[in-house]
Amino acid sequence: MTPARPRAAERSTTKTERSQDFTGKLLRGTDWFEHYYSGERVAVLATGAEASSILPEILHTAAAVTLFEESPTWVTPIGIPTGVLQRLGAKAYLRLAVRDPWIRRQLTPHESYDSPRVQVSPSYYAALQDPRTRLVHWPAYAIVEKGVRAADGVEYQVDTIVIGATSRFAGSPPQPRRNPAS
Amino acid sequence: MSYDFEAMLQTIKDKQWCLADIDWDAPGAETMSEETRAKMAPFMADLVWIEHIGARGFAALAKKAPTATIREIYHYFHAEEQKHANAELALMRRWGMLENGEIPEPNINVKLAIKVFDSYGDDLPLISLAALIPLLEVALDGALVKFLTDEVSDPLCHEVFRHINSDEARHISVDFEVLELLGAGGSIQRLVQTLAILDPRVLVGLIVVFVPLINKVRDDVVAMGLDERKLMNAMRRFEKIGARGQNTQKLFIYHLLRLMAGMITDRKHPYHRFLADPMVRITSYVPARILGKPQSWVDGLSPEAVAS
Repeated sequence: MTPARPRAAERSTTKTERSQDFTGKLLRGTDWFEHYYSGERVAVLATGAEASSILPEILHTAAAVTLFEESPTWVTPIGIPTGVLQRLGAKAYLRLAVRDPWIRRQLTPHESYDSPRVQVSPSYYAALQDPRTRLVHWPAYAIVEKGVRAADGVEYQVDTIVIGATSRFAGSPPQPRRNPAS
Repeated sequence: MSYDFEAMLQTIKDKQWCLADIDWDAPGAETMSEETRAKMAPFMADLVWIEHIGARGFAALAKKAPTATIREIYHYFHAEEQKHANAELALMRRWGMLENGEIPEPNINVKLAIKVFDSYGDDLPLISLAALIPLLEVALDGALVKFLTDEVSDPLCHEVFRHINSDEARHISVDFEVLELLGAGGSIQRLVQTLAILDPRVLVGLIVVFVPLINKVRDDVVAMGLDERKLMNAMRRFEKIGARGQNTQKLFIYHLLRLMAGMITDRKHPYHRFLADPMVRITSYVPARILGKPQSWVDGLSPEAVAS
């Protein structure tokens, strides 16, 4: 399980770094927790498990958040003891909390390929449906000067990019290639 | 030797492109004559929607993918089809085909396809979509897009379709490799796959949605001047690539669609008189109202290269 808030000892002390191309702020690991987002447009590249704790927190102050959710996760509003109940509770919560069937589909983890773990987050689904949040389920493929490019061909321009610690980009953020598609 | 899906996934990641890579205001838009514009506008609208439906098809395939790698490939393909639809919309805007910047309204056959996907797209057996999508793609790639690039001299249009065709070539090659993989199972597995096609949802999807959708586009494009031989060549490609796969040959649905492709191209075949034409007519009477509100993926199209 990813803790909802990183413990103080685990918090990274590195300051905001700058990607060689991106002109805004690039936050990695747990740096997202120490940054103030007032009025900023933020992109979050993270797995659903991490996003469930990052998104509600950032949305308190950010002007807009674009979430590139890499893999969905089951969520319950309160802790439910392990077992069948947990999964049933998560399914029922998703059904009740998210009205749009397509978004619900995007948020449903795959039976065999996604993690079966259940996260506890009372505010994730509400944050996802906030008008300031945009859920992008296309894979992100490059960080460029002004933001993130995704496989749907759109450049999502933002002021700050947060890369989650378990994101597939945690090791190296996606870089644009020299020669775009031939 | 089995196909390396991992390597293909890497190639797909490496070959990503973005609408912002293209200068949508580059000179050349003036080469579009008033006459071509009027002729092409409904065709482009159909093309955009067929790409968008194709995207939804890949989303359904991703749910059923046999391996995690293939699932990720389908995720990319889903996004890429959406990208193609967006790029075609951007071309429409460049040529002044979008009235007040509005996304064109889908025709009734597209709306029926949307309805079918919304209702049970994710429950359809993998094999049915896995076989249907390559047929759609060779038809799109080989006939419709070729027709468009022959008719339109705007250099930007050719640039955009170079990108799109390069993506589509990968889609088609993966589509057939997945068929090959599905055909590799034992005879019992193939029997189950064959029975799955008898699923009423597949039959409804094929007869009520696919047949009239394809026939309408086919007739519209031929009426606009597409050489029927080109359509025939495109469909022959489906047969040719399929014939290369030993295991694909064992799939009943492949042969079914291969025969169907032949019937679609041959306008004199009784298929048109007894099935396709009546279905086009009947579906044209379906009031869109009764289909209800489509799911929100339908609103995902945009000609904008940048979202902020």
